[in-house]
Formats: sequence, C-alpha cells, structure tokens
Amino acid sequence: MNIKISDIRLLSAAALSTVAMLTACNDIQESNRYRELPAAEVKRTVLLEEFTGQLCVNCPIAHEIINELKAQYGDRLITVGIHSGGDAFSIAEGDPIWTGYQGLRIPEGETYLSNAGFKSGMGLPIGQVNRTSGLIDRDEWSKFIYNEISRDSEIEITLDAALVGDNPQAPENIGINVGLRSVADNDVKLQVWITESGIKTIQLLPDGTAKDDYEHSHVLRATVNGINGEAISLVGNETAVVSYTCPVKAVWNPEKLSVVAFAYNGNGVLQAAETHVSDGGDQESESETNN
Amino acid sequence: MKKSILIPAIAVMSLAASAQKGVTVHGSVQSDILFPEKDYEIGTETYKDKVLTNTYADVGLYSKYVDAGLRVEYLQHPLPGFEPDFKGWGVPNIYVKGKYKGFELTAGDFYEQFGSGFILRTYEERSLGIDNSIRGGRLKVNAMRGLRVTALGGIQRRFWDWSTSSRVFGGDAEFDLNEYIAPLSRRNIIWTLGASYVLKNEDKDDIMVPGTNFKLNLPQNVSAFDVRTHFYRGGLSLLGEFAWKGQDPSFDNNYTYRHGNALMLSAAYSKTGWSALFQVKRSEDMAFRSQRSMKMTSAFLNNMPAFAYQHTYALAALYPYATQAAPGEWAFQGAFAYTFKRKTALGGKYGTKLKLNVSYIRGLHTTDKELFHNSLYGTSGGHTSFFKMGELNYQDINLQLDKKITKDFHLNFMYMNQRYNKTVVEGHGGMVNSNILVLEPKYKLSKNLTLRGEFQYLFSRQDQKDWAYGLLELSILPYLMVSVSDQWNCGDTGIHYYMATVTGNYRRNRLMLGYGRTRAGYNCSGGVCRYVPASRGFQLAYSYNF
Repeated sequence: MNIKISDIRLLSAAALSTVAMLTACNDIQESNRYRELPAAEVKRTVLLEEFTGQLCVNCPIAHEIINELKAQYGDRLITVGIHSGGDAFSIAEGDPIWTGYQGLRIPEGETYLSNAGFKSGMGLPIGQVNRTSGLIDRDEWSKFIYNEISRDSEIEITLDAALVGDNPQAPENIGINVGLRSVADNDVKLQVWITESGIKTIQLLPDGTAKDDYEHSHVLRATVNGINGEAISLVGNETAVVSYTCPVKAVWNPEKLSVVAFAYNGNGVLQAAETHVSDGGDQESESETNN
Repeated sequence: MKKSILIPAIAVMSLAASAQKGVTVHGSVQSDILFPEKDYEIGTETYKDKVLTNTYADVGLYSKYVDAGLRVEYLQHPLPGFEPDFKGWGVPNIYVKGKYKGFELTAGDFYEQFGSGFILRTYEERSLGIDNSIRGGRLKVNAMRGLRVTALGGIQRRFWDWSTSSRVFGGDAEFDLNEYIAPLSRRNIIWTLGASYVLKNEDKDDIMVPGTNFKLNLPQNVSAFDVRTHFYRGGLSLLGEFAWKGQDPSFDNNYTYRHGNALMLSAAYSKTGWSALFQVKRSEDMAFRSQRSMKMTSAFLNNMPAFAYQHTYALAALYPYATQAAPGEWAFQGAFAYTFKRKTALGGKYGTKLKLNVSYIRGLHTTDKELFHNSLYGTSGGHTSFFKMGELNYQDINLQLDKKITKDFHLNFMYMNQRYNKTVVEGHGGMVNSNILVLEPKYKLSKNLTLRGEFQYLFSRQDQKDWAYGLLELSILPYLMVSVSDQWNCGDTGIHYYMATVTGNYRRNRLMLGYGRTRAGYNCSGGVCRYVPASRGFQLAYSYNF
C-alpha cells in the first residue's frame, strides 16, 4: 500500500482537530470557576499555628494568606507564627552568626513542630488548625478554618493582660488573668503564650532577596505556663480563674505584645482567646471574652 | 499491596516456572544500608534507628507467551532525605504479561512512556525515591508493519498508596512512513509520526480561595495530547515534538486555569570522528500530576526532559539544575564532539577526543497577572509571552579533553563555567557563578593494577565559595577496588567531607563498604532532584543480579 503526502496531511489535520475539540470541551470558563458557599456561621474562635521561618522563601506567601484570612474572620481567628524548622528555615533568638538581625526562633518552636508531626522531607510553611487538621499546606487552611469556626464549643475564655512594674518605660512583667468556663465538667489543658507583632527584621522573600525590615506579626515569643500548658479540671458552669506573671524580655517591644490563651485536649483546641497587653497604669486592662 | 500477597505470589510464580518449558528467570537484589552517626559540624539529623536501609528484591519469569514478575521493597527505615510517605514495606509491583503475534497485554503494575515523556512517563528511579507506575491494564499492538499502538488505563502509585480518587487513561500510536512510502525506504530514511493522548479523571476537591467563601469549581477531567515526528537518515536525526495540556489547576500552578504546552526541536548529526547536537525546548505549565494537591516529587504523570548536562564529577554536580515544569522555561542545549586522529599534530600518538557542551536555560516572561480577592486561585495566571524570556535559570559551558598519553597513561581534563540560579531551583541563594577545573589521570601500574585520580577545584565568590576535591582509586582486577576521597569547602566553612570505600565484585555479586561524610545537597537524575541531608556513618551497598 502506498500512502501519499496529501493523505498524511489530511489524516493529521483530522486527528489534531478531533483532539483539540475533545480537550477544549473540558475548559471551565472564567465565570464558572467559583462556587460561593454561605458565610460560615461563627460559633467559636479558631487557632491557626503557622510554622514559619525567616529563611523560608515561601513563608511570605503564607503570611499574605493569613492576612486575607484575618480580614475575613477578624478576632475569631487567632494566628500564631511559630518560627521553627531548624537553621535551614529559621534564625534562633540570639544567634551570633546573624549579628545585626533579630532571630525569632525559640526552642519551644521546634518542640511544637515536632509534636505536630513534622517529619524529615517536609517543608515550610505549614500549619495546623485547632490541632485537628494535622499539618496542612497553606492551600488547605481556608477549608479547615471554614469548617472549624462553625463548630459549637462548650468552653468560654476570658482573658486580660497588662504590663506591671515600677518603671512604666521598662516594665518588668506581664500580669495575665485567664478565666475558663465550661457548660459541663471538662478536663482540659490551658496553654498561654506571649506573641509580638510589628517586629521589623530580616525575612527572605519568594524572589530570593532578603528584606531587612520585613514586618513580622503574631510571632510566638514565650510560653507562659510550660511547653504543654497546665492541666485544669473544670466544673460545669463554674468559672476557674488562673493568673500568671511573665517577665518581659529586653528584646521585646512591650507596646506590641499580645497574650494568646487556648484550652485543648485530645480532641484538639476547644476554644481560644487573644488580647493585647495593655500598658497597665490608670487605664483599665483590656479583657477579651471568647465563646 | 503488602505482605499478604507475597507468599501466594511467589508460590504461583514458582508453579508457573516449573510447569513451563523454556522459562527463564531473572532478578536482582539491591540493598543500601547506612549506620548513621551524629555529626554536629556538618549538621546531620538525629535518627532513632541505628540502621537505615532501602532494600529491593525483584524476580521475573520470561517465556514465549507469558511473562510475570514482582518486586519486594523494604523501606520501613529508609535512608535520609526521602519524603515521609516513602516509608513502608511490601510488594508494590506485580504484573503478568501475555504475548501473542504482535499483541501484548499487561495486567498489574507497569511503566510506560509516550514520546519524550511530555504527557506520560512513568518510571522507577530508586536514588530519587520515584516510582510512579500505573496499576491497571495495558495493550500494545505491533501487528501491522510500521504501526505501533498502545492503550492503557489504571491508577497511579504514590509510595504505598494507589488512590482510586484519580484514574489515568491513555493511548499512543507511532507510524513509520518509510514502510509505506517507497522513496523514503529507497533513500534509507526512517520517518516516524507519533501521537498520544492522556486523560486524567480525578474526583473534585474542596479548595477555597483564601480569605473568601468561594470554593473552586475544579475540572474532573484533564486532557493532554502530544504529536511528534522523528526523521533519521544516515547520521542525521531530526525531532520535533509538541504537547498541549488542558486546564489543570493544582498546587504547582497556584490553582490557575491556564493551558500547558511544550515544544521541542532537536537536530543531531554524527559521522566518524565528530558529532553535533542542538536542541531547543519551550515549556509552560507542564507539571502534570495524577493528584492535583500533591507536592514534591510524587504523583507526576509526566517528565519534562532535562536540558542540562548530567555531570558525574563531584564539583561539577555540586549545583545540579532541576527542570522547572510548572513555571516553564526556555531551554537550549548544544553539544559538539570531535576526535583528532592518531598521529596528527593535535591527536598525538593515540588520538584525542574533544567535547563541548553548552546548556542555557531561562524562565518565561509573565505579565498581567490578574487576581481574584488578592489570590491567583481560579484565575488564568496572567499572560506569558511566547518568545520573551524571563531571568536566567541555568547556564553551563563545559569543555572536556580525553587523551591517551602513553600505552599506560590516560588523562581527562575538563573546564566548566556555570551559572546557577539557586533561588529558582532551591528557593533561596541568588545566582551562583563558578568556574571548575577537573583533572583525571589514570595509570595502569600493571596488568591487574590501575590507579585513577581526580583533582577538582571550584572557584566561586558566592554561596559556600571555593571547593576542592581529591580522589584516589586503586582497581585490583578482577575483584577489588579501593578508594579514598575528600571534598573540602576551603572557601567558607573549612569542612572536609571525607570518604573511604572498598568495593568487591565476584560473579554476579557486588559489595561496597564505606565510611565517611556526605554533604547536604541535591541528588538529581533526568532533571528531577531530591534533597539529601548531610550524613555520616558506615555504609554498605550490596547488589546481586541473576
């Protein structure tokens, strides 16, 4: 059998047209790419622990996503940036190699990352929502927060924090009061953290350059009541009040500090609250109630 | 497929083997073992296990009409640097193949490649932890002269998971025009036309646009097609290939809805004494996975060919390039080889071989990125100019000289100039410019003794700056080889990465024992890279083929 060049051209054109038709049929037009879900019914405050690092080039992308999520959910979403991942991703507090820059990684950060299930071969940024999602990438945070925020919570947290000290210019401590109330008897762990926002120091960007005055927000600065918190037995409809004092470190900016408190058990985070640390003095301390 | 299938599978294969005449058995065992030690200077990780190993054993039965095989893998305590899901053990590969008169039907796990792999390439690469085989069925028909047709369908392996939420189907046809166009065959021309189609059908996911209540309407079906033509005559080979992929929003491309495409043109010529190659490739959004939300190296259906020369010298391979399938790239590669004849001025007494390789790879230029609520999710991802290029990703110019000086003395020399965009490949680090010199003498001391050395130096002002490398290797024929080496970061940390090995070969057995340090870095093969953390310890590698 002899085949002519014209036969080949005809066959090729037919085949290409067929495939083009088949593949084009799958296209989703721009007007049809989004399905709007009903706004989440906010029933609790959700905690997003974001494991991040100053040497993690993709972490600023995650920070932008967090900004979008905070704009969407406001105070009902608490995000904490836990600098971790070792020297490959982050800079330790006081690291002498990084003279002139502030390292934001504290030792507890590595423990929290390990406890969350981080394994060799994984990368940052990565996060967990209410300690129920497991470690998930940034493209899944929205989905898990949407689902978690509409779940009922039995726990209510009241939180206030203020700077304490003789010298208002150099406060020595933060005084913290946490109130926990549950609709039923409940054994929980209460974890209290100090976070700081507005920290301007180095961060690697997605284009590989370094920004020396990148503004870091919601950075975990200290654990107040131990790495795993304090066990508390709640009696139904009774408020348990716990007070703490946390020394202010010289490297912190007292005006930019916040306190995060959350109650958790084996089923994850049951409720969370956050309050800005007030400057104490004649002003009434700020108090947050989350339910 | 795990332990429960192992014993019955072996039993069935043994019975089949014994029942059939003319059955040959082939197989292999490969085991790499590390006894890890903590080394703070080079930053090793901490391991709970005292022994880490990647061990594989496979066996295959081959006969006139039926082949069958299986592979056992023990990766429960894997070597450093593999993805967390890599861990496990069992029988992840088992197949049976029937062959009759140009028809071949496979059931089970198989590997397949269409064309250059633009839309389908499933393969096993143990050093990278890649095995993206398909579990299902495949029919190959080679019954008509000059025509080869393949059809397949199944689910893809991802470590120890075969997700039924995603299914793959494909077809390929290759046609040799010279079998039917007489003037072509008269002129000894081989001219092949090929076309392939792959369909991925994946269940929908819940992907929300961050900061909104909008969920993406994700396509369940993603199609890709590939057309190619290959022309051979004498020493001339010409290849043209084009691939196109439908909307495939995934983590790789920030869930954008653009189409992917790839175009490759290649020309090569070889003749006694010299050869030349030039090829160019442009690809855009061609990361094609069976599961859209996967990251790192798993679940790829395709593989974009590497256009960077794969170096074997240690310092030349210090900064290996990883093909940028998702963002896309323009890649150019040229190679020229020439042999100066013996007893000429440049050839000398025994002849001299010269090789020049050039690789030049740039990113694409994308503008007008539209956003939806400050996110790329669901958008078309911007406009990418076809010809306009983005930043330099990689450049490599290397010249190699291969000369036999005397009957017993052989010398290889290489000079390489390299530009490596560490930010693009690794996520940080900027552009690393380096010049590398390599000298590799080999001296035959006696009939059974050969001494080989490697002396390498890398000059750079960036990253970890200068490196030096030295190796001495003594081959004691026919069974033994002993080597010592040191890679020294003389420009920055001052750390020595020493290694000593003894390798023995006896019949079909090969055993390597070694002790030393391995630097953290990237292990690349075919444009795909895996990060390997630093390690130190005693190593053992054994392989047996039968």
